Amino acid sequence: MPPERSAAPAADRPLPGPAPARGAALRAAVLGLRILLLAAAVGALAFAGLVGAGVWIARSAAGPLPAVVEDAATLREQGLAARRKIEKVMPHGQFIVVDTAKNRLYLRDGDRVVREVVVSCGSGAVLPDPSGKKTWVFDTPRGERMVKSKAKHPTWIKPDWAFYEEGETPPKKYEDRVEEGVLGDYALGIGDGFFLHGTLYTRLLGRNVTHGCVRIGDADLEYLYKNVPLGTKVYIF
Amino acid sequence: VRRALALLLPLSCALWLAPAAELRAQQAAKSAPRAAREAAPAQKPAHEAAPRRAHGSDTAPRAAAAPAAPSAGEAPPSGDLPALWRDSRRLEAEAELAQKPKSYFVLDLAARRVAVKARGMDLLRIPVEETGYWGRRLTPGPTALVAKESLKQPARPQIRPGEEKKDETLDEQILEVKDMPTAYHLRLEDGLDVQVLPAAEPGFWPQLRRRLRFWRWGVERALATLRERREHRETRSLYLVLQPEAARALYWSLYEGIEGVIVPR
Repeated sequence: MPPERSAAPAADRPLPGPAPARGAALRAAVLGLRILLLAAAVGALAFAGLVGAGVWIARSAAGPLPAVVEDAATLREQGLAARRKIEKVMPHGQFIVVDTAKNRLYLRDGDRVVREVVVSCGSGAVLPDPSGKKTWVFDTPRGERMVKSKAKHPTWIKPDWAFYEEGETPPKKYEDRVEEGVLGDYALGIGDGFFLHGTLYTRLLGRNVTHGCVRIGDADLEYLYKNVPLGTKVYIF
Repeated sequence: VRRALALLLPLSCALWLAPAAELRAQQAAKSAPRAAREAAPAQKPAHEAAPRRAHGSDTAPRAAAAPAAPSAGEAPPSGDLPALWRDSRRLEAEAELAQKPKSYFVLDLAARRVAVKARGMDLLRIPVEETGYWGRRLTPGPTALVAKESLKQPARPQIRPGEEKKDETLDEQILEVKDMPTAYHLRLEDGLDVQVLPAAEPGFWPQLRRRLRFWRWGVERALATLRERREHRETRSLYLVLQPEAARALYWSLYEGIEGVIVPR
């Protein structure tokens, strides 16, 4: 015989599931969250304290402002003397500036840019000597140089690296090193075997593709050859 | 917990914002030199006057990389004794370097610019967007670049003997300014570490990232200060934000061993 069903209304019946257990879980979750928040707050406080201590130490270790013992007139005089010293070595008249990053050459006359030329500078590549004893670095040299020589229809005396680069052995005879027509119509020597010269690869002007020399297009090179005297300073950066 | 948070939050905010206070002051002062620069532009050749695109970006190159007019610096301000002292020190240090046939750099935090110079003439002039400094007070005077470091150091391509050069592979065979990093460290003499970072683009998120990057630098320096104090050593750090193209140009122009002058604010 089946058990007799309760006749009590639904509202009076107890809720299904263990109510006390659910309440305990909720309380535990809240407690856990509180502990987590407290730990985060303590961590943040500790971190902020450390950072603050670092800031305080750095500020206290910065030191006082330097004591100026000279008077204004002396300082002004010192500054002017240094300024005169700088102005004495500053380039005047016509000079050349080469920007190796932009591959630009500027012929300047004092403050005025007389001519801006698109050039090609050193590739920055390296070539190791087959013997392993040395390595060539193809950078355009930085710093101050001077136009030391000027040549029309220059010939290229190929150095050792030019042969190694082509996978060849450098020849013994001087005549075998002479190559004509590759340096363009003119060349301006700036010392240590570096030249401002022409190129067959005009499509590569504006790129860093050379072995250290500065390659220039035909028209610009002719202008420079005709207008730049020997002794003109060249600033490369 | 609520009470603790109420106490902690303002304290944390104050401490976290402390490194940014200097930045805010600099940004306030930034408008004056920039206005002066805009009012009196240096003589530029034609290619600088025209807007130019760099590597697909439309960021205007603010680096006055074209040769600027010969300059030994602005006239010393009259009456301001610390400024006069700083200026005379800078000029004296620069006068020494200008006697040599080499390029040198002037890191002028007072004028917010870096210049690569030769014989007193500006070859490359780069405006500094943002700076921060941490450490013992800087004094104006000579310095030198000891090392350049970056996460991705540009490597020199090695030539393979006998290899034919093709236009398609040209980029792999040469090193150009576009290969230079925009974020790097310059280790100067006397333990000064110059951290160069690229400027952020306009917009909320890039600017927020820029601010967070600056705070992170401040927090890192604070924690490093504690560590260094325990180890009885000291480093000084300079935070320098430049336009990306200018940062590359500077990396290209500075070589290890180059001498220079540093001018603090």
